[in-house]
Amino acid sequence: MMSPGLRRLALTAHVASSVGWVGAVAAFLALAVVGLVGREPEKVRGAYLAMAVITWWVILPSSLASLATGIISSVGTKWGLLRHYWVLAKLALTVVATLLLVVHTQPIGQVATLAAERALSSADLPNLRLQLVVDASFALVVLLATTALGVYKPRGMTRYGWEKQREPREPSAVLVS
Amino acid sequence: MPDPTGYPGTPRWVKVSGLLALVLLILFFVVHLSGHGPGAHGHSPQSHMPVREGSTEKETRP
Repeated sequence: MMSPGLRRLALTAHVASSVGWVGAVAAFLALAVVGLVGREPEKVRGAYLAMAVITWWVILPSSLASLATGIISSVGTKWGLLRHYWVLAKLALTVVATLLLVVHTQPIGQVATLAAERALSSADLPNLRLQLVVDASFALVVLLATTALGVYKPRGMTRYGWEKQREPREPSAVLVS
Repeated sequence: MPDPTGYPGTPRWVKVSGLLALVLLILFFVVHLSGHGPGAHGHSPQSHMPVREGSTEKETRP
């Protein structure tokens, strides 16, 4: 178990990175919409170039930091990583969102590269540009769900957590408590 | 039938949201594999053609 100071530090890092991730994805979604429906060529180009920057410098680092600090916070506290369903669900959603993000860095880079070369017309990569809007919306919903899980902490222990809870405590732990 | 070990079982919210997540995941893969995802970008053949300096968008398209 972590000391109270370390626990607060890990939790602060986790909340900051997770909330930062949500905000960055919201900004990404706004830029993806501008890129898809924008009428001013320079604004559209700027949107796609900014999306690539946000992805590499904000979204990807904050997603990895959120995942790492979430694992550290859960393992180092009474919650554990596999004991409560809400922690398990949050972990699963974060892992899936991070993996999909890594997969999507390629198409994001593709649109940004084209935008760096010239102005885009509506005939350029239409499906891909629409997909970026859909996927960013999906990611935002998933991240809001993980935020809600962290705040509400719905009840329910996994079988592993339930069995761990029923195990007799070690003598030293009993003495301390 | 109650669990002999006394385990209270999986809560309803886990079952419902798990089912929902499964449906969304299947939907996600169906959309991507059906040719509307990033795997099928649907870009025009001239997407990567260099554009002449000063030329308009219309001029570069047939």
